[in-house]
Amino acid sequence: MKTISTFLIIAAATLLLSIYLPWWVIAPISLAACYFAQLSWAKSFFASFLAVFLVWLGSVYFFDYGTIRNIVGDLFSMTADATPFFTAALGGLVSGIFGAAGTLLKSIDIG
Amino acid sequence: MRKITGLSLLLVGLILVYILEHSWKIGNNPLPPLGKLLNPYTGIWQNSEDKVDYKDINLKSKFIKNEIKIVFDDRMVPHIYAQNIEDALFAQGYIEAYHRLFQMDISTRSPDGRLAEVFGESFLEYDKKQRRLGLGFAADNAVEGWKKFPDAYKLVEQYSRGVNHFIDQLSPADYPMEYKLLDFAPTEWTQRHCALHLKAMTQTLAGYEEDIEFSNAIKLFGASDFEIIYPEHNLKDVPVIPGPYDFANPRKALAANTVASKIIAGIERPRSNPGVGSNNWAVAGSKTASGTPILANDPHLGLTLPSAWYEIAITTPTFSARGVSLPGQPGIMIGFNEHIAWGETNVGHDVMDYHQIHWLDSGHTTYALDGKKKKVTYRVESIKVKDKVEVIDSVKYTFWGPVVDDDKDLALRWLAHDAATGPEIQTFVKGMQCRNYDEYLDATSGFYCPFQNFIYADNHDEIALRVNGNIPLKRKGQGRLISPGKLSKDDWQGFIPRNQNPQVRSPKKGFVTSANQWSTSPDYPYYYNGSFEPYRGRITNRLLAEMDSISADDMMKMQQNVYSIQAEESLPLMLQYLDETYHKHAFIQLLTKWDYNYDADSKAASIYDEWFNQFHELLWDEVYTKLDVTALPQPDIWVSIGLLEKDANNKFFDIAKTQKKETARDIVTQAFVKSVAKLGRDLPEWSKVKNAQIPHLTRLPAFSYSKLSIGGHKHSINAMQQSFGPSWRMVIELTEKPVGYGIYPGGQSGNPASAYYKNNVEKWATGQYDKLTIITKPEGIADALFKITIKP
Repeated sequence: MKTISTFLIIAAATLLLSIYLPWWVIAPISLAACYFAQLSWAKSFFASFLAVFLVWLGSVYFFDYGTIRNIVGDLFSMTADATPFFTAALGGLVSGIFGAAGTLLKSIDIG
Repeated sequence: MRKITGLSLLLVGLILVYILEHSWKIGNNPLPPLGKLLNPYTGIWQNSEDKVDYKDINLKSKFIKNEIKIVFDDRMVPHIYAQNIEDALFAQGYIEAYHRLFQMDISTRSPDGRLAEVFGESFLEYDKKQRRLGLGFAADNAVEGWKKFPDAYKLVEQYSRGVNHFIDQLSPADYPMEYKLLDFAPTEWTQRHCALHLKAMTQTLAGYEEDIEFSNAIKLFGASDFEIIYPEHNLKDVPVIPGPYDFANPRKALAANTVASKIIAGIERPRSNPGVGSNNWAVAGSKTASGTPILANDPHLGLTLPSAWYEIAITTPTFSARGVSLPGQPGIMIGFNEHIAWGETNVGHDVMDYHQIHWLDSGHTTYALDGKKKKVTYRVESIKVKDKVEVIDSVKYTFWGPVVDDDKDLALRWLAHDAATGPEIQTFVKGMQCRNYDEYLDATSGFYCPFQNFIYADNHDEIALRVNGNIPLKRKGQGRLISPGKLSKDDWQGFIPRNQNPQVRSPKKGFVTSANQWSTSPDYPYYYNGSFEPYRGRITNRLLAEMDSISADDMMKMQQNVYSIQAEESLPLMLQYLDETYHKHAFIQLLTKWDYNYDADSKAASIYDEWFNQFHELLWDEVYTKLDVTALPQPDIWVSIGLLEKDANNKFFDIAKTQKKETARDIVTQAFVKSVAKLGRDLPEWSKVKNAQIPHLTRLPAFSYSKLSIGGHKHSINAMQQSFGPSWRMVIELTEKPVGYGIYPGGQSGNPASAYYKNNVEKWATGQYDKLTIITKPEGIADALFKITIKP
């Protein structure tokens, strides 16, 4: 339950704040959410990664009419269809690391 | 322990964010700031553009007097409807920035030497060279000159305000994607940017000189051999304006003073493609099927995405015009209105002369002029370099101009540095509003440099052609070699009076045409030199003289013509001189059947082109074998053909380094053997040899177009080279309501994600055109994509 609510909090905050703030706002969001959430570090990583991954992935599909995929694919030598996932994974990775760090920085061992 | 792991992870996260927030270089490959770039909310994903679903835009500006409507038709061509010319130019600035902001930015950074700021250290040398040529200095002078004509200056101001209106409303999410890849931001547009754009064009079109090269050649070969290798006039040439000329040079035809120089190294500087040029022609009603004139123009420039040209239509209560503009300059450069049509080709005069400086001190800060001691002035150039410290370069300026290379005692006198003496910037704004030739002559008379062959036709059966620009009055031979610099009287002797510029109005033969050939025949009373195209002018003249009952369709076909007079004149001679043992060779079988057309699928064209080039280089081995160590001009190809035709025993046929005394037969045969070896068994079609492509301005393959299979040759009317050629093709029928046809290889939008980025490339490559009609009311545009309304 806690994992799901942490996931939802991060996803909602990412969606709301990313429109106004730089992309790396996902770092403090995940750090803070997981610091207070009392999850295991692995669950924190998972919840943070997945939240940003899915929000970014959905956003990419929402904004792209299909052309940017080809361009990003050409730029980074990958297939067009892989580029939204590559983008989402990049955001997810940053978020996951900060989420896990958030949990570990709180010294209480939840086990 | 957990805390330490947590802190370590935090550190890893911060490092990752830092990496993703900045641009890097891996080996030679730049890596953009990935986090910023791929951020779905402000990064590249925001540059997606729906094919059909464009939304209307409503804006307000305090700089306009009345409401402006801009309607984009189904090809994304903007039709501007304004109540006065100032408002119309505001709208032009706005939409050119709307579609081409990055292009406008880069094309003005290039002359100003500000590319390293964006692309990094690898562009530092380029920037330095541009600054040493004084292009920024030229732009400063141009703006000062424009200010002397407040009415014209106001027009540039309004254009700039329009550009800035677009820039000001951008958030980083809206930046064109190139800004995101290169991680920089657009800056304010000023009148100086319009000047820089003009200077960039001037560098491309009037940046020719070979002073050091010719001086070296005369020193190396001696005056009489120099005349054989580098004659100026081809007697077969058909000039833009043939004589006789009904005026005389008021000054005595003094020979130029020259400098007895030693052999010196050439100056490395950005030079334009020697194929830079264009065709234009206009035929009178007497030669057309409709009985009304037809005008055609196809300017040849570097082909890029986005294209140098932008299609635009402008209507106010007093006129309605359409055609193409160069984003960065107000007005329509090539186009038509309800009465007239106009266009330009380049004039290759040399307006760039090096003068010898006599330094009076070892630090090279004072020099001799008219028996007096003169001090140099300095222009301090500070060059910003991405991720590096700023570089300072102090450029010396003399009476003549900048010292381009500190290792040489030369200063550059270049017409591009001078402020125009007339209202040059209004040329294309006033030109597009004219109703007859007298008005047009007046509107374009302030045009200064780069000289252009201004062509004109109207629906009252007038056609005309004028070599337009401020042509320096030179002594005979002046400016071909390095000029002396001790006396100010060795400068140009003023300028040719504008009414004595070569020009013609409705000639009896019923047509006018120019294709970068010599402006005049040798009996023109004034001397000039330059770089001139040897064959295209001959073919346009030949075809137009033969044609009758011409239709617009005929003119479009003529723009696709790939016939080579070079091949027609040289191939029979080459076959004649080829050793008999090769007459049965498969290549020769192909060549004897060839019709001299550089068609895309022609294999004969591939053979001929290689063979001729090998022949030319072997003939002039005296020049080509020295090019690695000595800066020399390359001989013209018509000179080689002339020798083969009339002087096959000329001593230059001998290859200098061999014992044997070679003849024309030996050279032609050796060249053939070399060509066979080079082309091999798998003989490529001409389009494969040419390998035509249209690169993006940054050369990024992802934004470029590389799959083109087209014919043409730089000396045929369809002067298509690899990435250089007909950048806009236009044919206008001057009927009572003029109708046009036009196309350029690209699309209106500069956004690589737009459906209108390269939509016209294939159509252009296959010789098709879009119909251009003048639509005087916004309601007249069917299938509009969207409209922009700007209210005061």
